[in-house]
Amino acid sequence: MISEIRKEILSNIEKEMIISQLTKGKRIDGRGLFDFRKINVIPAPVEKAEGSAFVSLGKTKVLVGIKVNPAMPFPDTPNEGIFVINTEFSPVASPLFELGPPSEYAIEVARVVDRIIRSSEMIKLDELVIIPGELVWMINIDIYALDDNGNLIDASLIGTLAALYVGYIPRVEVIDKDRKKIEIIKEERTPIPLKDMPISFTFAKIKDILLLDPTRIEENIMDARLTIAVNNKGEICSVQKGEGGGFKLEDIHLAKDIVIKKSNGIRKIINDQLVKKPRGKEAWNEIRRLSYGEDEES
Amino acid sequence: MTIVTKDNIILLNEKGRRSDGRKWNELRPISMVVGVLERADGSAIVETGGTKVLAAVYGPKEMYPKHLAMPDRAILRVAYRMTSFSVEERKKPHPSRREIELSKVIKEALEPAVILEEFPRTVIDVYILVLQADGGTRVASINAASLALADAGIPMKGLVTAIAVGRLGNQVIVDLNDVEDKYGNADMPIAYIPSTGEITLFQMDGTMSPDLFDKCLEVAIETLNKIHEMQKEALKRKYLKNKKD
Amino acid sequence: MPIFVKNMEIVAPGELIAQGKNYKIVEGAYRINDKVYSEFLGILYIREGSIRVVPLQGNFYMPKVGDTVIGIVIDCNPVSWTVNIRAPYLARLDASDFLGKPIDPNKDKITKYMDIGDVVMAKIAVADRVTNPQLIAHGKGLGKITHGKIIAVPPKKVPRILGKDRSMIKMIRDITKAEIRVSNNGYVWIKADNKTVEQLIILAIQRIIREAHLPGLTEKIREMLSSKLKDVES
Repeated sequence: MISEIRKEILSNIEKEMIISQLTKGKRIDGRGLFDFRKINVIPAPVEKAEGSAFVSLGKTKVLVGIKVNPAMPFPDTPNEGIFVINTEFSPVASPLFELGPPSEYAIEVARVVDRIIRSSEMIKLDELVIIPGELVWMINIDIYALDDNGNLIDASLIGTLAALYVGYIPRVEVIDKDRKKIEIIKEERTPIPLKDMPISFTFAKIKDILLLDPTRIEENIMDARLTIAVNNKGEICSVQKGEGGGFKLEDIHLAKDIVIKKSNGIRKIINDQLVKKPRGKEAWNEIRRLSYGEDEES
Repeated sequence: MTIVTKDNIILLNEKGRRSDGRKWNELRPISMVVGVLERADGSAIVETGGTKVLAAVYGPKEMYPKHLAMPDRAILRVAYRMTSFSVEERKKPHPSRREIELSKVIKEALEPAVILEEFPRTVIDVYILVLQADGGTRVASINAASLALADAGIPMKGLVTAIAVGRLGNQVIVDLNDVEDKYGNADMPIAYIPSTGEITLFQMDGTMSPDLFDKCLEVAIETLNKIHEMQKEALKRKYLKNKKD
Repeated sequence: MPIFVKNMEIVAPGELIAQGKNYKIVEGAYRINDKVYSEFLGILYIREGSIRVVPLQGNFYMPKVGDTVIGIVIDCNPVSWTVNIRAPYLARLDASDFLGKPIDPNKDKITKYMDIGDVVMAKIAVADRVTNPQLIAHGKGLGKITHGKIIAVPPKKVPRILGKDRSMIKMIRDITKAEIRVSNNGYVWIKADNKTVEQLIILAIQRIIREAHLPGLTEKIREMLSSKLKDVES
């Protein structure tokens, strides 16, 4: 661990500078306290996945991919499809991440994204049944962090939404119901049945200051973290508080008000890109352009 | 000569075109972008047709646990991993035997190029992530990793350049795609350091006559010199761009 | 005895620079028989048969005795600090090499002087291949840094920021009237009269980093600073 701590100890001078700027309402990257960094959504770059998205949130980058397979339903929900969310935070994305089994943090992010999708009932699970009680579609959603420059939670959720949005289920024909014999016709696709698009907002608290979408350095000095998600109808559909510090009641009210005020705008930013941007092979032109740093504004 | 697989994919038609329409020695479109990640000390994305590989480099940095460090040189560590959705069937996240073997041979392909003696008691980490697989991921990984090492400012005897050659019947082919990889008669991935003339990765599966074996090597070196030029160009691109401004 | 690359051109690792036995390699290149190759992505400097390749990339610093470094304290022991100097090795600073006198850990707590996160300006006292570097922070211009702004730059670009005979940094100091110190491990400490001037200096340094490989940089930076400073004053 020491080698990692070495990279991450911020000098007291820098810390004080960031905090003194924050008390004046200014952030080191010039954003307002409650602004998101630029969100780039590149739909469906991975052709072998049944759904995928490359997302950048400022300089944070994630790649999300979906694979779908027929599977046995859970005994308590025999007539519902299954989805599983998994995060892979490998050292590609950060010197703080390690190879091997997922860290507590990676699991927390996966579970938060899972709860947001589940609470908002985004995926119509009842439409994912192949043979009732016997066979359903299982949607595996794998979130790969590529570059961690802060707020992997919101980036991961956006990536998941986008991959689901462009994702599909192949047509399936039941040949023998009793023997569970089916034929999958890969070429014939229907979109994954969806009914909502929840949006999450992650805040950091540094001293007495609340701010949205923390960068890595802000995460480094934050005392506490709060994620609030909201669905299409404007209902709050998941909350997660993280890190060792605490929030006052008024912080929570303020955060909630911002989420309610801003969620439609963020949803539109994501939606517009999903609708307009080229998919498949052409998506890579955009990934290349982004990677090449031609999109410096963040 | 036409070569067809069991499930009717035409690997080579009578005009000498391959399953994706290429000539025998034609490369798929290659794109290389260097310095793509903020956090890593060096990074690169290499695309060869449908194969997309990301490499990140960290170091040289202090080695933990310390007893694994070498007193007179740096240690190079390589991890090659595929995303779960990079292949047709979902790949489970934990490393497969294939990924572990490839990590090892890729490390040994890169090691002769890196001047490790300059950094005693340290480690240089190379992480490779296959974002999409369509044949030739190990050679794309070597091309990407060697660019990422150069991008990290690590001294090297030269860039390592890699390509897969192989055969369909009596025809030598260059840069095998997924189908050719699976159904072709032989597959020979090779990595090479043009400056020192060393071949640092050399594998083959399938069968080959001694004559065709020689021909494959000859064609491989020719192609590698071309790809090497692309690598150099990719490294210099951002500086040359500034120069024009 | 051909030379294959022009002076000040960019070379890649393994690129053939020259052929001939009489070339002298200063740094950043190696030889196989009579051929000289680059070790880095860098800029080639050839002067009277001596070859130097200065890397364009690299975020790490290799300690050299006598270098001035800025480091961050990352650990405290009873009689010494562990300091991150952006090298592949952590450096050690003994309390006596900071205070100028030994410390009695029974009576005196070392954290009273410097704690984790504090920043120190020091010199490299010992650096070899066998042990981790040792610092000394006692003496003129050395010691704990308590104010000003510190920015990180690629250590390999430090010579360019200083300029030939420190001409670049002198010029920036003269024009902006700010205190600026550049450490060999790639930190720039700035103390300016106001935030606008500080920001201007940062912009200038960022431009030097970006255009380190281009000629005529000192003049370009001088022009940029003088014109922008006029805007500030008016």
